[in-house]
Order: sequence, then structure tokens, then C-alpha cells
Amino acid sequence: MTRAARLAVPTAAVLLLVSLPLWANSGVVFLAGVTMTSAVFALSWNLLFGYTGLASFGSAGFFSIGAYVSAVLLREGYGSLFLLVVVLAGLVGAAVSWLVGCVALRRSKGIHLAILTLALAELLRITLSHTRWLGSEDGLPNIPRPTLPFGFVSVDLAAGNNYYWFLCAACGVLTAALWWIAHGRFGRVLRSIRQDPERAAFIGIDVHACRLGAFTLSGGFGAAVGALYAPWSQIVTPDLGSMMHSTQPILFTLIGGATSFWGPMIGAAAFAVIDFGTRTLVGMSEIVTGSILLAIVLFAPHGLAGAWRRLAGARVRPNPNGNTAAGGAIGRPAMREGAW
Amino acid sequence: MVNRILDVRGVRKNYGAFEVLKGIDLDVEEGETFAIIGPNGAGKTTLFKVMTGEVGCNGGQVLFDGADVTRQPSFRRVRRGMGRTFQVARVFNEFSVFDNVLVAVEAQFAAAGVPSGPRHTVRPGSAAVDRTHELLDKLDLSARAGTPAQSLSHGDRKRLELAIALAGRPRILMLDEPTAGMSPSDRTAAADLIRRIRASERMTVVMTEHDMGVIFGLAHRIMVMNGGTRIACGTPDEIRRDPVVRSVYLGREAQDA
Repeated sequence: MTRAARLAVPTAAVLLLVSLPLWANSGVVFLAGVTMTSAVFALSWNLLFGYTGLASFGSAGFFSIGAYVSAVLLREGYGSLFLLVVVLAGLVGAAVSWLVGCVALRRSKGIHLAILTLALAELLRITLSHTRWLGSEDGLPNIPRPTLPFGFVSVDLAAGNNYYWFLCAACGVLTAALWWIAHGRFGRVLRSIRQDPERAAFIGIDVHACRLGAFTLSGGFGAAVGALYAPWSQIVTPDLGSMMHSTQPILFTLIGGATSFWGPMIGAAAFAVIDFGTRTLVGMSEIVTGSILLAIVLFAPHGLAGAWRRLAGARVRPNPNGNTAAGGAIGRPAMREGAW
Repeated sequence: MVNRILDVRGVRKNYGAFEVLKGIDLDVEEGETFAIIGPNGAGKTTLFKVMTGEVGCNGGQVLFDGADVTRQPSFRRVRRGMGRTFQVARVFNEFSVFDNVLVAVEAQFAAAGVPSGPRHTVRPGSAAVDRTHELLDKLDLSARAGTPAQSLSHGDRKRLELAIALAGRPRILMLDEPTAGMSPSDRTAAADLIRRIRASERMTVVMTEHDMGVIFGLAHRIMVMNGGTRIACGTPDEIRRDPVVRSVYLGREAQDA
């Protein structure tokens, strides 16, 4: 693939998303916004799964922490500080994540970690549903969309589709940050840990500390995107932290492909399209959706991203080093020789 | 005075009721090549694991360069200058050969506090890249830099693992059966490689090995283990002459020879 061809798909996707309010109805725009937050949420989960080799089943807990922090502060009238609110939500999520990680990662991996994170997220959900000042079962409704002051001009995100475009930009920033983490030195360390933790320890990597770091980052990003979600949906409920919501990033990642950075995002988009396309098939939509997902898992074990890489790889000549431009473990091999 | 770089004192290890190591003492001097031999089940690999920190021990002490590392996890020992390879070469299969070495170089840089290049870019720093190329050259892997590690031949995997171990700038290299599963000609090449690296880096080497040709050709001193105890320790000549060793390990053939 030429560089132009590689850039064409993402560019088209970004243009499509940004221009959406100009030609689609508000229902589609709302779904697109939700999908964007889910996609970034899935990316944050895959930093743990696809990169570090840890499966958390309680990621929605962090999402709901961020959403509640954002909801409470916006309802209290801190809208003008919304950017700080998102950062604060991320920090709260990261702090809670760090605490959970200190306990959970010390001894438990694999299925034990899955169950433990699931249990803690459930604990949080039940606690929220019994906390009266957070609205108990009903959650917090009527979350106002903020107005952002930029020096002399201020942007009212409540007006028109402004919050949608803000969401595009904010999700873009979070995605860029995750991409930077995943492709830099720390990302390489995490991938080495996933492949062989013992070997990683024997090159001098503090495996526990790096796993804890990845867990903390994942929780922080999950909470930050939760904070962006709250004013978009304008209501948060304890169910945001439910097991169903925790399985969403897992589903997206499996559809899109865990071995690719963009896999979870592709999975989220594919799921949204399938879901939207089958919405009118009353009583049939679950069957159709389920069949499509089953087909993807059966016929594309590395997800859509893996299938795309295979298709693209077939058309690429091996480079002089003997590896194909489309090969590699995570996305394209970021550190191919000649890349610098 | 010669520096005693590794000092193992009365190390005991048991798995349940089964005692694998029954109080092992050994010391390795800086610059020498020290080999541990013994029949299957003698406890060589367990001793190796205790020395590198892969498993803990139930008694005794491991001193590395004068410091007690008995309770230290393996990554701390690696940062102190212990490099190791495994019986079955372990490399990062999904990485290219280049990335395998790069990740080890970067880990060493980070542990030593060497800046690894500008932070804002995801590309590895030029110092790390140069060091990686240097190691690949040294181990004749440059031509395979872009190859995924999982498609390497057995010998190349072994060499790659050695490159990963060397990336940590070890002062002592612990090799667990470096020629296991190799053809006779590959064994000779591997022994030459170890000799070359030992000479160029002035490195201490501790190794376990089954191949007597390799052992007697490389080692300055040899320790013989049997049933979790040390039955002899000395120069290759002393070991060859030792009657106890001959009876339990080298067997009848050696006595006749």
C-alpha cells in the first residue's frame, strides 16, 4: 500500500464523522457520539488486553467513575472549567485504578483478575445505586452541556451540534495520547510483557510496576472518556458501570482485532453500523447482529483489522528485510528498519 | 586480588517434601568461566534458577558482587549486571529481531538512567538504535533484523537470545545449556561464539551443559553435582582425575579411557 492509500481510509473516516451533523439526522449524530466514546473506551481497555496481556472485566467501573465526577461537577455549575473536569475525572479514575491494581495485580492474573475486576465494578455499581445524593437507581439527569471560555470568546457547547464537534476533538486527543503511549517505549515494554513476562523480567523490566502503570493508564483514560460521555447523554445511571457495559470494549476488541491498535475502534464502528442497520428488523435484530458477530469471530480470528491486514498484505511485496509491510504483531510493525 | 563476583552459600531448595538442593556452596571469580555439570536430576537447573532469582530458596545466601541478592527479584539482579539465557531459547516471538534487541537495550538504558532520546516522538532514540545495530552485528544477526523472531531457525534464536542478554551489559552471563538441541557443528560454532564474547567483553560466564566437549573446551573451573549436593569442584584436569566424579558421572567408559 502506498502512503496515500494508507491515509485515505482514516482521512475519509474523520471527514465522515466531522461532517455528520451537516447531512445526517440528530439520532444518527447522537449514536455517532456515543460510538466515539465507546471506541476510545475500548482503546483504553485494549491497552491492558492487547498490549499488556491482562483481561479486566470491570473497565466500565472506571468509565462510570469519570461520568459521575463530570455529572456532579457540571450540575454544580463548574461548566466553564470543563476541560479541567475531564482531566480531574481522568486523575480520579487513574487513582482508583492504581489502588485496585496494587491489590489485584500482585497475585492475580488471568481468570482471577477477570473475576476480581468484575466483582469490584459490581460493588461500585451497587454502591452508586444506593447513594441518595447521586440519585440512587435513577442516576443524575439533566446534566448541562458546558460553555468553554477561550479568552475573550466563549464557546457554548450546548448550542446546536457544538458538543458533537467538541467530542470529536476530545476523542481525537485521547486517541492520539493512547497511540503515543502504545507505540513508544512504554508500549514496547508492555508488548514484551504480554509475550513473555519472565523473559521481560530477565532484561531488567519491573514487570509488576509496568503492569500497574498500564492498569492505571487504562483506568485513567476510561474515566476521562466517561467524563466526556456524561454531558453528551445528559444522564448518568449506575448501569454505566454494569457488566454489560464492561463487556462492550471486549466485544469491540474481538470484532476489530486485539493485535491492532485501531482494532477496537474499527470494532466499535462496525458494531454501531450493524446495530443501526438492523434496528428496523423487529425481533430479528439480535439474531442478525449475533450471526454477523459469530461469523467475524469464526472467519477472522484476528478481527476485522487482521482480515484487512491479510488482504492488504497479499498485495504487498516483501521488503528487503523479508517482512511484509502489513505484517507485524500490533498494527503495522512500527519499528521497521528504514522507518527512521 | 581477584574479585569474587558470585558467591553462593549453603543454598537449600525443596519442592514440597522433595529436597532438590541440599546446601550448595560455590564461588565464581570475575573473568572466569565456571561450568556446572551433573547427571539429569542433579539440581543444576534449580540451582541456576535460584542464582538468577527465577525461584526463591529455602535457605542459604546468594551474593552478587558482594551484595546479598537472595531476596531480590530477577529484574533487580539483571539491573545489577546478571544476564541469562534459557535452556529453550526464549525471545519475543511477535517482535522482529531488531525489536527484540531494542526492547532489551531500552530497558538497560532506562535502568541505568541513560536518556533514551527525545520523549515527544515514538521513534527509539538514536543511541538505542546504534547500540542495537552494534549487538546485531556482533552476533551476525544484522541480515535478519527485520525478520519476525518466530520464523528464526533454532541457532538464530539462540544467538538472538544471547544478543538480548548482552544488551543488558551484564558483568556475568548465566547460560543454561547454551548448546542444547544443536547439531555437533552448531555446538562448535556456539562454543566459539561464547569464547569470542567472553574475550571481547571480559565477561564472567556461568554455564550448565551436557556436552563434555563444550565444557572441557570452555571452562576454567567445573563443579559437579549429584543428587542436590556438590561432589567435586576444580579445574577440568582435576575433575577428569577425580575418582568420585568418574564413578558417579563420567561412568565406566571414562574409567576405561
